[in-house]
Amino acid sequence: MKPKEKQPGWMVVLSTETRHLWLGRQGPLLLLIFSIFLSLYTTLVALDPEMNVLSPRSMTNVTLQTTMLVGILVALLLTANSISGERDQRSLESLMLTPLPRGQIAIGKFLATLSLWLGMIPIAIPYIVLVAKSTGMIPQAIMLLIFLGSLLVMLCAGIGILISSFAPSNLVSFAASFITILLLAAPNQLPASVRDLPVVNWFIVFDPITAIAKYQAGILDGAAWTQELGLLISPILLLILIAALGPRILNRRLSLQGGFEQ
Amino acid sequence: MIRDIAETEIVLSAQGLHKSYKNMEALIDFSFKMRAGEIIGLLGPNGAGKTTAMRILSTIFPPDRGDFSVMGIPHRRTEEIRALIGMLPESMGFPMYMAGEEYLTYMGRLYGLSSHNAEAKAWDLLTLFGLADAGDARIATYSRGMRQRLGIARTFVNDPKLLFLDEPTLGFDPKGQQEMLQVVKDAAAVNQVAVLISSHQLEVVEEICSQVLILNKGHLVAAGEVSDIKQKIPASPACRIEVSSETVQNALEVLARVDGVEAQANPNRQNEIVISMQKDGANTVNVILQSLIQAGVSVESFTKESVSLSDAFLSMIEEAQA
Repeated sequence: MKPKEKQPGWMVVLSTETRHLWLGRQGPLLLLIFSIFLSLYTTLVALDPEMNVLSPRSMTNVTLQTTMLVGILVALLLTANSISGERDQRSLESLMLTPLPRGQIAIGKFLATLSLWLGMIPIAIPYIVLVAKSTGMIPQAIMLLIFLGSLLVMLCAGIGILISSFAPSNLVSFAASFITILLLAAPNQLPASVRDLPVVNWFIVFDPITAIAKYQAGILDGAAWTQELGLLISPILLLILIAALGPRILNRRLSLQGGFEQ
Repeated sequence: MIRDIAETEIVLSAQGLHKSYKNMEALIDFSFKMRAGEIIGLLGPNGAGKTTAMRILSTIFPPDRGDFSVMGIPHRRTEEIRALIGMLPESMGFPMYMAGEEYLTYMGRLYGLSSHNAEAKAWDLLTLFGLADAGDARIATYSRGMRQRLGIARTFVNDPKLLFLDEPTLGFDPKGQQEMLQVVKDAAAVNQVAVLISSHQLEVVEEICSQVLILNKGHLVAAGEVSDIKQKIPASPACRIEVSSETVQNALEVLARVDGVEAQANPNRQNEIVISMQKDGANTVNVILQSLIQAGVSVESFTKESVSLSDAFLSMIEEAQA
């Protein structure tokens, strides 16, 4: 029999972290909370004609955004805890003493976090179908959930894990991650009159979260998939940048105490 | 390329290591060598630089200046060095949700073992360190001593050539401490593992180490064999005798007439006389005992005091601080 080949280090971290996420209480509990939230949201807000003053397309857009926001928050919750959590419980040193390049520790943990988003997508689809059924845009809404949702979650998880790697404690990591995401999401909450100002519009193009939200709204308004593709440049570029440079930076700069000094 | 250990015997060679944190110098010009199978004690008061030295040598921190190599591998090739060393950090933490066996298997796999081999290794180590019965239990349920055993077991996962143990006896009862020390001694003697051990329990260091390094405020203030270090202490020879209660006064009068000897009753222990001798040697001891016996003093016990590593350590630190 051919001997089984050794797994790369990041896959060992990924399989161990994923197993604990899914078989432990954390993963199923987060999915349960996610599905309860979506049930309540869809029943009370999206499908209640008395509470719903938006058009069906706008409602679908808001529901998609809310679903993605919860996905981002869950990803942040997990990634913000990933390295600084090990630091807080003093188990990071043991990982850093292994011959595994330190960037691979982060890659394994990052991918394990994404596995939960893969679990959230099938839970969210029925709710999206329910909300979007009167718009005739169910396939588009599902595609947006899968592609844009995944892009957003990967991006935010990447930011979260970088912050966690350099944060001296879990508390700092959580605070810095949420503040960063709130700042990136803030322009999307501005009134339409302010968003249409040239300066804000320019900023939106470079702000990945707002750019994705704008692209999504365009699709649900009937735009072609390629019409505003330029809006996706900044999130995709940022994701590529994090994926390409993140592990290299962590290989050299991940430290026991956090911060950038070794 | 890793050269054969028999060819070089030098497992670790450090030259001029230096590390500062902001404005504080934690380690200054630290140099030493370790050979295969050698156990060296790293001593020093709190803040002396012991943990910093260990973390530099285990590649957790890079040195600001200086070099070291492990089995000929220069310190910048950190991943290759990590594959050869084991390190028990002080107050090590664990993923509490894991079982002991699962943790050691995970660590083994991160060192490149296959799942099967890592699991087999984990159970071997759990058995060696007396944790086999608790191997399936979550680490959160372990006592402090059990966690310390698990931490030491983790250092053996990759069959290291060089071990760093920072306060390894924390949390052990006396029996557990002896068992752990025996494992370390066996690793050094049988597998030729070089061990650098830091401990505030100087009797442990004296028992297990052939050599010691004493650090103070980042400086290496003494290095050498334990016996040599102890000889550096200028202590006047002394002995203690215990006599029957009715002969204490008689014994003191006899000893007052012996040249080069100063005797006084120990206020803390009844019937004990502490004797300081100007000269060391069997001759003085013989004269003392002969005089007492001829005077009819019943000597119940006799102890010649020697300098302990603890005395030597305290003396050197005081000297360095002065």
